[in-house]
This record gives sequence, C-alpha cells and structure tokens, in this order.
Amino acid sequence: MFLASLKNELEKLFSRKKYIVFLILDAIGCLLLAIGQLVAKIVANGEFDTSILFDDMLTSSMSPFLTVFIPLMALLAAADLFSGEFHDLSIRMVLLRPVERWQIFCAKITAIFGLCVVFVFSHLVFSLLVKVLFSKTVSGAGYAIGAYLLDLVPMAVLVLLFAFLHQLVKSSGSAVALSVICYIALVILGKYVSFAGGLIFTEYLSWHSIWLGATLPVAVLLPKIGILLGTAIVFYCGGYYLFERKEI
Amino acid sequence: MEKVLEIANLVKLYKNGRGVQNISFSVGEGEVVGLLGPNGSGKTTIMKALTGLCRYQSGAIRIFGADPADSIEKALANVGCLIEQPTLYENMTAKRQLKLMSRYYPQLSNTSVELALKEFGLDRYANEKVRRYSLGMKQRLGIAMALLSDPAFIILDEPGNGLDIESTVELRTKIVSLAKERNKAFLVSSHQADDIEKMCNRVIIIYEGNLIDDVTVEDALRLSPTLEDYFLMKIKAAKNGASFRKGEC
Repeated sequence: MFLASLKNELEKLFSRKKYIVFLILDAIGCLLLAIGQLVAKIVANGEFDTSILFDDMLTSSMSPFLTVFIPLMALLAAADLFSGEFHDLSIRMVLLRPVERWQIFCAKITAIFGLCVVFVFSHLVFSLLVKVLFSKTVSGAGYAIGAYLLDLVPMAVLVLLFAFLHQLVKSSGSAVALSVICYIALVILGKYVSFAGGLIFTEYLSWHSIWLGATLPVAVLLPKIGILLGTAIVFYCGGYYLFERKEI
Repeated sequence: MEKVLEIANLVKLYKNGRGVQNISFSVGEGEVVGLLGPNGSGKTTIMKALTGLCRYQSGAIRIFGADPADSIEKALANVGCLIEQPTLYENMTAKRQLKLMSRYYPQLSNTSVELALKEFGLDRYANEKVRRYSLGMKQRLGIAMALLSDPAFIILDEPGNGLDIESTVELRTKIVSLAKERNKAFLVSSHQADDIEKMCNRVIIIYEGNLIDDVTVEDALRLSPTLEDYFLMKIKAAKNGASFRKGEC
C-alpha cells in the first residue's frame, strides 16, 4: 500500500503545472547565469576564453539553488500534499482507503523529497548542458554529481521540517507563512548566532563542501551526521504524531 | 446472517460537548440500515468514528472483525465509504481520480474504472476536470469511488445530497438491488425519512448524540402511517424525556 500511496502522491504533485513552470524557469536561470558570466568577463577583461570561464559552472549556482529554490519547491509541495489537502478535505479520499496513516505520511514525505531530487538533478542536467554548449567540455561533472548527491541528505531533513510544520496549523496559507519564518529564522540563527553554531541543520545545506575535500574530516563529520539524524528523527516523530491524531 | 459491523457503547464527544454516546448496533450481510436523525444529531460522527476519520473516547468497533483503531488497512479492506460531501482533487479528471483510488485495490483493472464511470453516467465527462462538475456530478463520482472496489460493506453519508430526482431513485434502486442480489451491506445516513423508508430494512434513530430507537422499517410502518410520522413521534418522545421503546407505543 505504501507504493500505491507513493505513486499517487507523485502523480498528484506532477499533475500541477506550477512545478513544470518552475523547471522551465530553472533551465532559463541556468542559461541566463552563463550568459551573464560571459558578458561580465568580456566587459571586464575583453577575454573570450569560455573553457576557463565555465570551469565552476556546475557548482557556482548550487548555493542559491539549494538554499532558496529547492526549499521553496519543498515548501510548495508540502503545502499541496499536507495543509492544502487538509484544508479542502481532499485528504479524506486517501484516509478512507485501506491504507495506514503512517504509510500515507511516509508516502507524502517521500514524494516531496522525490520532487526535490527531480529538481536537483534537472538543475545538474541544465548546468551540464549549458557548460557543454559554451565550453564544449564536461570536466568537473563527476565532482558536481557527487556534490549534488551529498546535498540531498540535508534536503531530506528540510522536507521533514516542512512536513512537521504543516501539521501545526490548519490553513495552507498559515502553514506556508510559518514554514518561511521558521526557515529564515533557522538560517539566521545558524549563521549569525554563535551559540547555535553547528547545531542548526540548515547550515549543512551545502553538505558537499565538508565531504569533498582533499581528506575526509571524520572527526568533524560524525557530530554533524548525528545532528542531522537527530533533527530528522525529531521532525519525523513530531510530524507523524500530529498527522496520526488529526481528525477530519 | 453474519455481522459486518458491530458497535458497542461508542462514545465520541467533541470539546463543545456535542458528539455521540453509548451507541450500540450492528449491521449484518445483505442489510440496508439507515441512520436517521436531525441535523447535528451525530450521524456523521458515528460514520467518521467507523472509518477512522476521528478518534473515539471509548467503546468498541469491529468491521469484519477488525478494529479500525488498530488497523484501518484490515478494517477498510472490504469497505466503501462516502462521508459528507465528496472531497475530490479539483484539478484532476474523474477518470484519473478513479485510477488513483484503484491503486489501493490490487484486484482492480482499468476496466473497473471505465465500468464505474459508465455505471454512474460519467463516461461522457470522464476526461473533464472535476472543478467543472456540478454538485450532482461530484456526488455521483463520490458514490462511484465508494463502490469502485466492489466492497461487501458500504457506508454512505447523505448519498442523495445534490442528486436530482432521477439520480436519487436510481441510487436507491441500486442500493436495494446490491443488497438483495449480491448480499452487500449498507449503512446509509439521511435526515430524509422518505429516503430511508424506501431503501432500508432497518432504521436507527439518533437524537442529540443518543440512539433512541433501532427498529425494522416494517415494524415502524406497522405503528405509524409513514416512517416520517414514526420518526417525529420518537423525537417528540425523546424531547419530552419519555422512554419510548420499541413495543411500548
């Protein structure tokens, strides 16, 4: 029943045109970024050596993409599958089927994460295409694929955070507002408040930067993995507890 | 007659004090049982408790021997439900929604979806988005979804809502024939005594969260000219605090 639920949740998400529009916007964004870099280089140096210019093409857009664009997609998907369905009561369609609530909850979370995976890899493919188009090489692709794969780990925790927050309020709008406020607060807390340094999972959204160095800093990584895992467990349990107790 | 549903001393009270208390009844195979009561009497609350949409404080529920509070998967495996108005995915077509729901029943094929659409007169609008449907069409789709898996026990909450006269009669005929010919059990709620009289074998009258009568339609009609009259008599008695029980009046 979990697989049936997962298929349904994915189908529901991808039947919404907004995600296709966002995918197209992402592709256009990659192209514009490359053109912008090219123009800036020409204006500054008069050079036209695209092979050097696009060396870091695959990873240069990762930070804004992973800290703004993907959280936005996860947030919208959580609103569609949780608060939106509770608000218009369409959640009843699923709850009246022979499927346990934990399976529904897990299927929804997995579908949201699946959407993030699709966006992450689409972004990688778009960046690769732009790089090939401008510099006729795929150098750095291996590193980029590794980086994107690693960055999916903290993304999963972010999805669990949004799933949890969407159980706290009834209306879809309030749930989105609460999620945005919490996310911004966590980002600010992690970056600018010293005592919270290292304890907030949003600091690890560029998780690959720790892993893909010359040596693997095991001593640094272990507590960070623990923090991510602990945060994920708290959000999952909290979210499921509230989801399971909801009366419709 | 084997029991498909057994409820014993069900209590579900909301924070505002409304809800239902000490509800006990059962539904057997091939029976069409009507839940009759004024608006807000607790009919929907009973159905929500049965289907796991709300948690009850005490009592016991068994659907085909399974407790929905323990395993909704077992309890609802052979049950079709429509609770309150059909809540559908407005941005999807009827066909797609039925297909999504059919995934929960491995025995169903694409033909089942087509058949359900045809049976409820929705085949012509199968590829139209549900947001363009009228209330009656949505209701028919909701009922089609409840019957999609060919369940042995069907729970329908106010199934006649939004339906025109022809569709209401068709639905009543379908319910009666499914019960008689295929031994399906139904629990149907309504605040229209006429609907219940025409399709049910037994009626359970709920008033202010209490079960005030559980009687066969035949017996009720022996005591009053119509089920409506019988219902009004029972309600009046409940209001006056008198203890009218079957056989006493």
